[in-house]
Amino acid sequence: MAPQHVTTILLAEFDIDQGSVLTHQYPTNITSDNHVLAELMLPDGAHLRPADWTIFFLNQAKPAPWNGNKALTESTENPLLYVLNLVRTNHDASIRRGATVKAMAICTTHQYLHVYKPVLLLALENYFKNPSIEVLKTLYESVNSMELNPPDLSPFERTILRSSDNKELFIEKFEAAAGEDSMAQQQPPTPSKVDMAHGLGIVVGQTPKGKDAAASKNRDCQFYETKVVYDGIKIPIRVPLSINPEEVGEFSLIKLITTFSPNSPSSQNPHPYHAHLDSNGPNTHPIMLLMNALLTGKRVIFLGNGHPAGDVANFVLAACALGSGSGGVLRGFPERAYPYTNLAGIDHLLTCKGFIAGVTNQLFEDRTAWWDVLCNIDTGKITVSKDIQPLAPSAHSNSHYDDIRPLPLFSGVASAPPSNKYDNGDNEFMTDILSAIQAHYGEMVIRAKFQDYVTRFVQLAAQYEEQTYGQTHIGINQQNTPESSKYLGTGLVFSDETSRAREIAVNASRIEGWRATTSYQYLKDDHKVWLTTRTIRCMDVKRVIALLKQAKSLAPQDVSVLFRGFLQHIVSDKQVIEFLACLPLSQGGLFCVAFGLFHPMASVRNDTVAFFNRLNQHPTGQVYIKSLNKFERNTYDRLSKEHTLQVENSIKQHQFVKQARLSATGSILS
Amino acid sequence: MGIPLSKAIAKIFGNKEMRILMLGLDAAGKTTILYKLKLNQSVTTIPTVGFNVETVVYKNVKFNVWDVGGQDKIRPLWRHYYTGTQGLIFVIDSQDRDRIDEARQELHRIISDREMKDCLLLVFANKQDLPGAMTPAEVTEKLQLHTMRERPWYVHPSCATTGEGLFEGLNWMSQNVKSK
Repeated sequence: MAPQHVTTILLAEFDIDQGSVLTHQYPTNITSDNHVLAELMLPDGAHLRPADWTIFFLNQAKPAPWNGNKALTESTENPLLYVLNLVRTNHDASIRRGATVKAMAICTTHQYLHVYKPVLLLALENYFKNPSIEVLKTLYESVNSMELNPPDLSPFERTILRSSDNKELFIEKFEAAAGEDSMAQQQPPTPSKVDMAHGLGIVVGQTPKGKDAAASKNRDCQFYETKVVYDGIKIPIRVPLSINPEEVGEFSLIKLITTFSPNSPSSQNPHPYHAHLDSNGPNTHPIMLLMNALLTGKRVIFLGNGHPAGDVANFVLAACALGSGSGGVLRGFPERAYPYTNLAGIDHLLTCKGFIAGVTNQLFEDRTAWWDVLCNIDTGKITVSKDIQPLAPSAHSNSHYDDIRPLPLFSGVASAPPSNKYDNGDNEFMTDILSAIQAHYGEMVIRAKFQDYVTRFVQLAAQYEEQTYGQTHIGINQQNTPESSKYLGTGLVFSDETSRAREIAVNASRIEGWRATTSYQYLKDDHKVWLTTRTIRCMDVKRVIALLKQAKSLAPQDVSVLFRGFLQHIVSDKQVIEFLACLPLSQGGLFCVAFGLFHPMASVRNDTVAFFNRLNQHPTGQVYIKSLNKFERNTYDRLSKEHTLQVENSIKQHQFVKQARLSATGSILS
Repeated sequence: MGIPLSKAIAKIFGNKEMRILMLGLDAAGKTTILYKLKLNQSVTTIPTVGFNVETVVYKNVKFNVWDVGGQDKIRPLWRHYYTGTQGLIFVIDSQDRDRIDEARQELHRIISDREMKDCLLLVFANKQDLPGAMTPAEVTEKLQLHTMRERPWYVHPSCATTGEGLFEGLNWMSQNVKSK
């Protein structure tokens, strides 16, 4: 049986005599707690507006370990379900009390649940006309008969795709997927097309071979195009392909950042220093305070007083992306997210450690015991609760760590707030982010920057663990990657020893806070798996690339060994992909490796050429080589020719010598 | 700095703030009362999903009025609104004799909550314009208000659509509220 795209359709209505009622669940009941579900489907203030889109999640237990998008659909009995809900209020003076309020929801394991908006809109419209469970059945059947054969991309391949709009990336995988589609469809020879009227003009299915190239030029490589046929209407569906594991729905990280970035730093709410939250002392940027709250598992609420529930839901989804590194670095955020909730869900909410919730009821603002950090989307203010649990002075020693060593090195430093002037780098980072937003850089650029930020935080935490506890289970080190000593070592790159020590010291508190959360435990698990499945085992590729990017004068001998290492250890397709995934095309791709082409040592130049030749054999590597700048490309082409000539010459020479010897021996024999 | 200043002004001019919770069975007229107080207009209302909240200023008192939906299944949510409430307005549909007992039960359940022990009780005997409406005395008796000894309570006849009686009720509230 094909996997179900949509597991359940729900219908709730506001009964004028009884209140919120869950009328139907199709095909089977997914919950017995019908009342809370009905309350979530009929958000506060639904009577005040014609329509409201909301999102909430069900089964907030543990999702499967991360192995890409498939994890959730393949996981056990109770996967995390994403629920997309539409509530509408129809005024009708002819009926008692003048209006009907009904809501329909789609429960799916797909993170891209927003693609179902148009079909849900049509189905709810139909339900208003004909309130019968048949409407749910038709919807269920039509969404589940949607063709869904996206190109099969590994997590590393998705990382590569995400950083680039290059239309040639993974074209071979798209073609393979399209081939499968046409086989599956088994339709008469007429090319089946997505509804052209909807302006997509993307040809899928059986396409004559010759047209493939034209079609691929039109395609947006970030999406897989398909359709749902509902009630005779073809609805185009665009499934995002390079989505990160914890990115759910359609949200704007930029909106989150701009809403909570004050115009003047003084307008912030003062609160007593909290070592987990105020990583930059009194100068901690509100977005960084929020980041710290998310990382250290504080209870976070987004309040949109009187707003549609959909507004706060998008802030919660964006916050999940903020804390998890755009959904690509850490796990465990959606499972504690309540994009929309209300008083009916409060009992459940309060049992969740470190929830991230969206509410529209200002009552939550007064209940300071319910939350640690409250973000008001109207005022743009982030408030720390006066009831927030203060950190025990011994916070470090009671952390969840197997190795109990008496005194972490930096506890003394971290317990005092950092001084006024010092910036731990966060303010510089935020200035960069805000100027990028001002310069109209896109959502994906900003998300990439936060992904890098959280990646760096994790690398820093690994260094901190090494230093404080003598070992780490979240980073590459000498123990798990012994060969790395040959290739420039392991771990984060710092400009000097002082800045290393200082950065670790100022981050110690929030690192400790994070180490007590589930997202840290997940990372430990994931890292363990990664160590056994990684294909490049001899070096810390991220570190090596960071060093090459700094272009700091590396010792020629080290460079020579390193490039020989590339040539020797990055051979298979998987290794090539894993290597390239550390070199986003948006950040110049191979440019830092291309330095090898200009290295004074001939052996380095030769190894680089040979390595590039190998990459060029790989379809993705080829795209990377093509996107080198002109100067680098020309140099590569020239060196490559010289290299081939040299090789040919040496072969010829070799053959010549051999022949000479042969003839010599022959002449002797004769 | 802004907050202490406004507090100082409030002290000088004697501004009071009062948090009011308005409850009652469904279709009693709570939302109509709220918007009549707020806008001095009779608006056509539809059933409240969740709640409405508005600020009404009357005679230097700022009333923060919460109007929470009254259907059977959503009454368990009322308790979340109790904390910090200084005045309860309980709205009765005076024509609905069938459900006056149900209203009494709900009212007694609310005010027996520990969070509501210091709160004033104002009952609007609403929909006085309708034929056969119970009088305030009848409502008082049916609700068994005389059994309440400790609590200040007051029953006032009202007609939400015309606004009759509403401000008299608020007046009683503002005069009886204990200053914080």
